[in-house]
Amino acid sequence: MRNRSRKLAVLASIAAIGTMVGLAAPAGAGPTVLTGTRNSFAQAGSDTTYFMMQNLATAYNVDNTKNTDLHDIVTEIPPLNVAPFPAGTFVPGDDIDPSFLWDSSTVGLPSDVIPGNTPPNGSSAGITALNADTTSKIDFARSSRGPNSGETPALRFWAYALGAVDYVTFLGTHAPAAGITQQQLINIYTCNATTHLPIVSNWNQVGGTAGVIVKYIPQAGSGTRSFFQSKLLNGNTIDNNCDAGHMSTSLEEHDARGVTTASKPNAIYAYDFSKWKAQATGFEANLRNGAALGKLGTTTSNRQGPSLATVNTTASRFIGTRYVFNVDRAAAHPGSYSGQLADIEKFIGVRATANGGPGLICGGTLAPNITLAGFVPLALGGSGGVGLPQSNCRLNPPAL
Amino acid sequence: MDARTSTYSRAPRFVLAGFVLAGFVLGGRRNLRTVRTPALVMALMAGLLAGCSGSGSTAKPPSSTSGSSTTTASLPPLPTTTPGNPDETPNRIPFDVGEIAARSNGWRIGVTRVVRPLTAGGLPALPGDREYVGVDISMTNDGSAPVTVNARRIFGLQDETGHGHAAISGATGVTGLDGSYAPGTNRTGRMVFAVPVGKKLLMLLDGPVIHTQRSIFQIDPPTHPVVD
Repeated sequence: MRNRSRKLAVLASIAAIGTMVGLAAPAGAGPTVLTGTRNSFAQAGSDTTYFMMQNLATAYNVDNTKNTDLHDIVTEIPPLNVAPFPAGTFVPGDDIDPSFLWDSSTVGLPSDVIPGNTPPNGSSAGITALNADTTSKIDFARSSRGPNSGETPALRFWAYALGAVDYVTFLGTHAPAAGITQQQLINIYTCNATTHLPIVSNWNQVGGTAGVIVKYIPQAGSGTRSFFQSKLLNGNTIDNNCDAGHMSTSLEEHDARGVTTASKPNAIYAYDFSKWKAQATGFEANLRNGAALGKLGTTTSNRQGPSLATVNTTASRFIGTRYVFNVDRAAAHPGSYSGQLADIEKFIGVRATANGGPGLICGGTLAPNITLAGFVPLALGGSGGVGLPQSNCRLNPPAL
Repeated sequence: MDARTSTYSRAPRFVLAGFVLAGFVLGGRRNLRTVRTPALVMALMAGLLAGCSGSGSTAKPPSSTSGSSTTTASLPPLPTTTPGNPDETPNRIPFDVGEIAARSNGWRIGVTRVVRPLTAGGLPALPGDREYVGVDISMTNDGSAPVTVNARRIFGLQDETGHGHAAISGATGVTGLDGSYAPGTNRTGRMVFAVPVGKKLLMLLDGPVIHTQRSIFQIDPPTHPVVD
């Protein structure tokens, strides 16, 4: 209990400081310009990992073991400048690039023909912005997706944690306690091509008790929905072949408050495991509305829910497991900043042992912070790449 | 159970906050022309965020406990990234046209169709740079309490330049939506707005007025790109 109290206190302090840094303004939030070997880095992209990376960046900014320039400063650029994200984020200047304020007061990216200061929103938008950067205004990116064809080796995707997406049910559910199979999940969310009725419409068709299934789904345009379709539904489109009377009801992703009390026994929805955990611990506001994670498998014999024991990279992992990434560019941007990649990877990557070995995240030191944010740290293992030592990261790993 | 009615005092605050938000959402697209938001709007936004319990982004610092201290009497509170009432924070990704969105306290609300330009008879002529848009809306109260809806008070459009547009005055401005929604009531209706020609549009819902979540809906274009 004593150790837990101290650990939580330290983590809470780190997270609180991280949040304040996210609101950074020139005054009172550290230096506005770094000089000499000290540099200022900014990361943009995914909303899924924003709060976690803000926490990790805060730890890096005061670290003395890997942040050997004493100290480079990492700033997390939020995907949007509205709540729950900071209204404005100040990035200190350095010898490479002057300070910059991201506050969405001007549409567009700094790299646009008409420069703006609106952050890229989402993983793909962040990666696009990283590729377009020529001034070190976006040094690296957050991503909840892996590399697309052709993106490597110019981009280096450092997997550093695991998340997952699962279906959830609610209080008094008629769903089977033993869980369902992936094919049954597909049959719930798709319809017969001839009748246009759901292939499975009642919980008693999949081993539960009688009750007409009420389908909820993360809204169109959400990454959770996209992954749910591609991975859990094995590429099937939600409501495929369904008529207007049998469409799913949309909910905001990571927010189940729209599930009515009356529909709870029959409801099914999708939830990001890490968000579910973060909301359970109070790291994020609890919007679960009593949602419970379901057990899912490819067969009835391997059904399991996501947990610290099943969200991993083994062959027996939970089916909805996915990596989350930090992404940097092999080429310096601007080209004159030859040490950019090495400096960034002291934080998010792995260098040859002679050059410092694993960075702060990949060295495993920040695993408790990753856990606090609801994600699962990667185990020590081969880093990938050429001549890199073992670490808690994987470079350009194949998709799970 | 008493009917819950709209509260006037909250609407203006949402309109401003929502418009600022929508400006950012629209602003996420790279092909829009540059828009310089006046400093006044930014100042208003800061004030609104400060005054809105659910809009702040600063976690309340935990009780001071250094890493080397002894055991505290109780665990310090963990920070939350979204403090306050989450109903005050609208969805980051707008709902597409055609989506029926489940909102808190049992509301089912969606934009089912957008007609632009709308050329219905009886509408007064507009200047050449403006046009009418008809927004068909479905509202269902699947909650446990009756709620009175005044659609003009809760729905508004915003264009990509940050300007808000209320429904036009007169009976044609809102049809089919106003009134008391007993539990289980569904209504579909249309709101008509006069908007600039060619400007992208979002619709904002001041959800707390009807005891649900602030929400943003796509209007034109009808879908929002995936945010992964």
